[in-house]
Amino acid sequence: MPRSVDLKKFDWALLLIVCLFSTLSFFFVWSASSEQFAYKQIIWIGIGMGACFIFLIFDYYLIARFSYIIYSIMIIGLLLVLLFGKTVYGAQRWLILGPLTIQPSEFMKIALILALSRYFMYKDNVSKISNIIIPLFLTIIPMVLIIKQPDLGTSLTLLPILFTIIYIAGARLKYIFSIITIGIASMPLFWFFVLKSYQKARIIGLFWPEKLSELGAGYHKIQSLIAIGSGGVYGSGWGTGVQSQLHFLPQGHTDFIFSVIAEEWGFLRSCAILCLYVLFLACSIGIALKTREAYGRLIVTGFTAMFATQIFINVAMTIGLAPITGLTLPFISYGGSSLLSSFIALSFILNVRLRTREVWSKQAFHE
Amino acid sequence: MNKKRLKIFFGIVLILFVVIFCRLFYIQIIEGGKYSGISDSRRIRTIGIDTLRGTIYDRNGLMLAADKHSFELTVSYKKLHNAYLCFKSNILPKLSKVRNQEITQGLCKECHVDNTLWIGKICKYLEVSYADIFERAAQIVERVEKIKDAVERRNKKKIHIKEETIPYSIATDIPWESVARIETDKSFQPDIRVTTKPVRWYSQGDSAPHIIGYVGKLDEKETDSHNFKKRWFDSLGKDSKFESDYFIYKALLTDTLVGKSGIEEVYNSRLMGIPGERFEEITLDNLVVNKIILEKPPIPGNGIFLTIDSRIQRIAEKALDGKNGSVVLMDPWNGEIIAMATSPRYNINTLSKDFETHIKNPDKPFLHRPIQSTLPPGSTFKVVTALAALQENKINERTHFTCYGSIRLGTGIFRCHSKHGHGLMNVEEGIQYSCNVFFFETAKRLGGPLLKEWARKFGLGSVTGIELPYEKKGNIPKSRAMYETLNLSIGQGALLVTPIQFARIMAIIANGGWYIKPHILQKITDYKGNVLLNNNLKPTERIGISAKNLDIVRRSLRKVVEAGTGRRIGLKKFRVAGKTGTAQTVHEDKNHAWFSGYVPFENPKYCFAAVIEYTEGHGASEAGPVILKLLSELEI
Repeated sequence: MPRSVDLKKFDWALLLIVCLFSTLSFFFVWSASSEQFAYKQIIWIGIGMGACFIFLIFDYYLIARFSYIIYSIMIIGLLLVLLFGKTVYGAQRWLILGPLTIQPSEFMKIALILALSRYFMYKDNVSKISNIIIPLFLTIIPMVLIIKQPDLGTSLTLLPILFTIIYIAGARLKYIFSIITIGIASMPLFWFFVLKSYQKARIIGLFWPEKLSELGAGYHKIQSLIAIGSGGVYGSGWGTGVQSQLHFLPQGHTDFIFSVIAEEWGFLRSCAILCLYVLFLACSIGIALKTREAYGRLIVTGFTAMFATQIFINVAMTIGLAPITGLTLPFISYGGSSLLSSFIALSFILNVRLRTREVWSKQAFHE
Repeated sequence: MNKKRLKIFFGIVLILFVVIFCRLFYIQIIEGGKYSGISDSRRIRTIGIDTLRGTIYDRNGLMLAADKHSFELTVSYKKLHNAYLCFKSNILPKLSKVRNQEITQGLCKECHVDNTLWIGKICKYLEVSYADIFERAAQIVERVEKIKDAVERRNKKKIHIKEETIPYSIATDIPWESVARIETDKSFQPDIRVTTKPVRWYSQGDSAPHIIGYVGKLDEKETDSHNFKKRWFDSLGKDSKFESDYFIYKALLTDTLVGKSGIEEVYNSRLMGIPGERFEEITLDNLVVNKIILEKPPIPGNGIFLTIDSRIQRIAEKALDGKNGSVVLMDPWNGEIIAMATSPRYNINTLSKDFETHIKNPDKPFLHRPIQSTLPPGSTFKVVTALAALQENKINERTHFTCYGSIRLGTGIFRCHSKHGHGLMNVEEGIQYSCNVFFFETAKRLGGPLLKEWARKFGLGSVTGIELPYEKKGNIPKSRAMYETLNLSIGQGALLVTPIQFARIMAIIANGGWYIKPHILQKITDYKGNVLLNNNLKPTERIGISAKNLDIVRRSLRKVVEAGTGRRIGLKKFRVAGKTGTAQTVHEDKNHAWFSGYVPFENPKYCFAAVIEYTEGHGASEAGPVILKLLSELEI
């Protein structure tokens, strides 16, 4: 049953903010690497925007029916990566499909949000422990697959998504806290059996950088700190950051693009960009508040949690608050898969706002 | 449903962002100066740590090229700056008045007492003149001031730059005694120090210099042509070595040595190693290191093992006896080059001193003759003609031609070296006595295109692919005229080959027709000695020649040494099989003397090619003795 699309409700503010991010992305990818990369980034932004509008045509409820199928496909994708993936920087994260190399773990986040929301959409009160166990498994399976790649960063972003959705779905707090307690208790297991030595080195490097003299793993962190620190209040100006222009900062156009921004634009303007991100998150929370029906609200909060985690971990990593992980800054970092998944996530948020509906019964959904 | 929970969620997000804002404020505003160098008291400096270039060994593990520590004297920038001021303000005006006035100790006393102290001492210890140190100081200070000026103009305020905090080297390669004297002088600390710096040292400096190669600094043009920025990004996403690429890029910006020829050039990226880096927090007033924040240790370069046997290489070089020429000694079964000598040579250790004389030498010491000297092969090429004709069934072992001393083609007369002719000959005797007429007749039957195709099959006209730079590929004539074919059949005319190509032909004959790839790299190890790459090349492809035809040629090569053109050399006792060759040149009575073959005859262990260029003698009298000397010292 088609529903009316109310164009007046289209969230222009959200789109405007993303356009601003895209412009910033173009200029800072240029500054951090080369013109050529900047134009590639523009092409990816174009593809992302296109995908965003294509997904807007469909009702998000239609997609809801396929949530589990999408989830299964992405799990298969992750398995394929482990079997045939392309290895870059010692990690097997990419899958080659003809001319494209895609990173399924980026899209796994979206699939997980859809699947978790689908699970909780008709559970008004999440009171049974079994209602927590199944989502936990839904999350742990992709986490394990992604850790195997190994990509600890992306894998850990799935946890905040899980907790946020459980929390918003109305689970009792004692359940959530018990999961967290179990998680912390199992940390030593993680340390000894799952983490690779370089990941351990990065975690040690976070707390005791001077201990790492032999491992050399605090290197990125120091370079990033020097870049950001030398930015000062006003920054050195676009395209003139010493750290980034002379490639003292590895991966300046992808994971460490915030360091480049902070070095070249200084404290005030990088704060302004962070404020834009806060505004972006506020807008999407606003959409969640205005939505009356459970599935829409859950996916919007899920995506908000995804963005918030990614932004926070990425920025925290550049300023030495979090260990170095391969997480990108949404909408700004260079990288096709991460841009595309960000735009698809944005598309869902806009979609929910666009189509307000009556609260449906379970039977009507399956008609 | 849970509007309250949504708001709490957003609250948590806000708190996290506030944490980020605070941290950002702390790094950029409060501690900002420490990182950027604007701070008055403390800042972080980075110091590059040199790495050791990898070692080159011969096949028995004898060190051929290694980094040796040498001492250099470094002086803090502050002291250099004082000296510079002195140089500028006191001496130059006086110089203009009194042209002949020397830069002496007395001049400095007037302004900077400190300068007279330390410069005076250094002059005494190092036995250099006052002016030298001032000039060096001026050089360094002017460069730094230029950078500082540019940075200050951009920031519009006075600042300390990184270059002001590091010590500079003013003298290198200091002998031991001076080091001891400087080190014991306490008044120098901490501004003047002796540090170690690796320099390249070749233990066998005058042996195989072309193979080992030498190192030098990248000049500006080369630095540009490397286009590092682009290359670095191209390599992104391709392999996980991006970090080492980045360090190498940085190393190249400074004065790192890179390979300029030979193995040093070809395996430069393997040998270079990855320099380290140290981050130190220092106090700006006295430049004392507060603490080391992070140290990334350097990783020395890989070890390169060559197939060369240093002992045999020396014997081969001695056998050439200073004549212009080359010897290649190769394992016929796998293509390992055991020795590859060229003459004349240069000594790598003293190259920088002798460069000018060498470059003017008409004998071209820089030419790596075994792979770069393209010469007509003369009669040695007859083995190719014979094998081609046998395999194409144009002749067989019973085919006889009569030699009357010459044959006539059109208006031209093609002569044999025996005026009266050799009489009736078959292929074995043709090779044994090196009869030209026999091969003219053979070439007439075989035809030019087939002969050229076989020359190509034996690897002529293309590089062998040995891991050394600038290998020449020689030339196979294109002309289809019959006289050209006749000339080609005896290795004269436009056919040009390199000695290594000919050693390869002998290897193919000796090993029963297997294509081998001449190579000089045995294995690559990391600095700890773990083998990274084992260059065990097994031949997989065969040239299409039947065992019977190969046997015919091998028998005749044996006869050359026993009773043919090579009988007087005296190689019979070493069980050598080979072919002599004397190629005429445009110069009257100047020939290229060739001798190539393999040893021992029954079960070949080595194959070889020796050539003496532009000599008055011929193959048996000039090139043969080289092999004789080589084999008699080899004791096989």
